[in-house]
Amino acid sequence: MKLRALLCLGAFLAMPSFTFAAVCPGTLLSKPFSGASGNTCASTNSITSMCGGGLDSPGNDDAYQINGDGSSVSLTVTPTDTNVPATGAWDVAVQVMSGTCATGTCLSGTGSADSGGNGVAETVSFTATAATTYYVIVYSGQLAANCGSYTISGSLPVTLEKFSVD
Amino acid sequence: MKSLKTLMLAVASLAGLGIAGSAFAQCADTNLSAWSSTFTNNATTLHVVATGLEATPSACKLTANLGGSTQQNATAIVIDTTPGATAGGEPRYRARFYFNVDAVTGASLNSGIQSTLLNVVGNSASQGFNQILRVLHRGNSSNQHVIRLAAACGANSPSADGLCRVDISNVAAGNHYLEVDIQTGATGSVTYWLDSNATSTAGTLIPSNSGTTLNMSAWGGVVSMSMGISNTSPNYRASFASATQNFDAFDSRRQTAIGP
Repeated sequence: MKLRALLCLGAFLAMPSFTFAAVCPGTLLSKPFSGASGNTCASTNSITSMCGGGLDSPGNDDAYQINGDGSSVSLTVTPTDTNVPATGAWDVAVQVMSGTCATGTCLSGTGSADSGGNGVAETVSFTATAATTYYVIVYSGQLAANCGSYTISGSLPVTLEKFSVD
Repeated sequence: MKSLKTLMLAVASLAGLGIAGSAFAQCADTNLSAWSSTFTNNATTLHVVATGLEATPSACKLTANLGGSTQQNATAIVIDTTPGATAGGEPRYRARFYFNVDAVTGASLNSGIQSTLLNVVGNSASQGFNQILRVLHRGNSSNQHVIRLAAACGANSPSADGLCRVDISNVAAGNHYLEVDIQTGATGSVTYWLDSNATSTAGTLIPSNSGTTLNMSAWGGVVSMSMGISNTSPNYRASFASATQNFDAFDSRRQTAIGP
């Protein structure tokens, strides 16, 4: 007897086709994902605003691309420097959008993170629909001078692509 | 002229029939699906509730509230991307909407208070922004409501930020409607009407350092708009994070005046 199933636990695991772009749309980084880092001050990417003009990002930002496969994504962006005068750290914010970079549809709820202040890590989580491209935008909110370095950690999904028993 | 988008957030024909309870039944958040998308985050909310803002009220209106969120990205907006179907964006764009910002009032309504009611976005970004026009609600030192229009105008800006602004001060409490006529390009302009019928009265042009010419060539045509609460000032979030702002009867067209 031969059984075949998709999306089951165990057996053979394969990495999905997740790729990351440093700028919008940017250079693709290889997988598997083991963390990433960047510095929006050094970025040449500037979306200026997202979500129909409702979310300004006047400073430079970084964009990371994810090709959805139906699984859940959770990413935490942690600021790692203290280069902002007066405040001592920068206030990172993260926004996920689908479709196209910069002008795509902004994900509401947990697809948008800016819950903390200066120096506080921000986490976005969302379900990445299969065959849909997502962009995770790392930006710095209202102030153009508010930028800095950061790391990205978290779990990208591992999807079972094939399960068979002979 | 073809209407780009009419989102009255009401079904006038049903209300006119006087169906008992129909106004409440039809004012559900499912009406938000008429928009290209909506965007909320943190604890912010968008709802469709009973009683419109027009002189003869439609059944429903849109409410936006930051839900107590004080984060800098706290946003509650509806978005229309249909103008983007035209390559390069719409070169001319008229829009009209109703608003009521009475919840933002009192001694805290000062010059540090600001929220964006409407964003009209261009096809390209320049000078650090891509909004061709922003309609802002602000306060002043007399705790009055101020409606500010900030338009992209490039080299015609009196300041270095590429913006041409006009303030309409001492706007009374209550329901209001604002219509704008945006003509993009190197010799662009923005004409506006606040509580004035654009089908029968001449509007007012946003001034620039070249009279009323706004050089919008760097921003292209109009590709999208958003309406609600966005890009608020820190003082707004500190004092009015739980205030509900009301919107209604958004309509956009290429050329034809809309009116009340």
